Amino acid sequence: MAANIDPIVRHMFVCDDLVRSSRSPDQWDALGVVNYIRPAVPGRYPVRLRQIAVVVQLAGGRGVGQGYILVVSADTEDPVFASPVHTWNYPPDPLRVLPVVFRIRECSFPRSGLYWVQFWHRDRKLAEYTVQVE
Amino acid sequence: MADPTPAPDHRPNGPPTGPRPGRVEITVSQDGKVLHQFRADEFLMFDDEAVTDPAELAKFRQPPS
Repeated sequence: MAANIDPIVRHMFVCDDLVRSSRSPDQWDALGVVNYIRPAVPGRYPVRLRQIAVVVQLAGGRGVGQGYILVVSADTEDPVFASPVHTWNYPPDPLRVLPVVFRIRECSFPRSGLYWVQFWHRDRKLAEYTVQVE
Repeated sequence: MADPTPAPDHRPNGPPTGPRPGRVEITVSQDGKVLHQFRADEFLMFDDEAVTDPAELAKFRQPPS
């Protein structure tokens, strides 16, 4: 049986959603790349978002992948929310890039500050991305 | 005989999630300008509600980086 090998993360970003492009059924558009989040009413928390989409582009993985997204307050180091853990198979050719998109609905940020959006793979944090809630 | 016409997809997030074989291209653009374009032969999408239960979140805290 082939060993499971962690991938490297070629890219990671957070956006509102990925939608099928009108140009082609094979094309997807990332909408609204998220770096900053402002409350609808200034000073009112928590800030709730209907959805975010976390995109990680993986390469070099072998065997079975298992990962999740964890959002952590940078100030308190407390986890705020997460995606469920998911499992997938890597392509036979490890050089191929595998985009993995975690759509997470009903996200809530309890207060202003910096948040880490982390990609964990088999109990290793492979990448993280910052989001500032203002 | 089964109706061959698929039911319309009324879900706000579009089609079902999970493995999506086939060549795909992801475009990241801002104000009409393409920032990044990624191409791949496979594409996975997972669609879930956020896990917020403290007991469940505590399980995510354990792995060291």
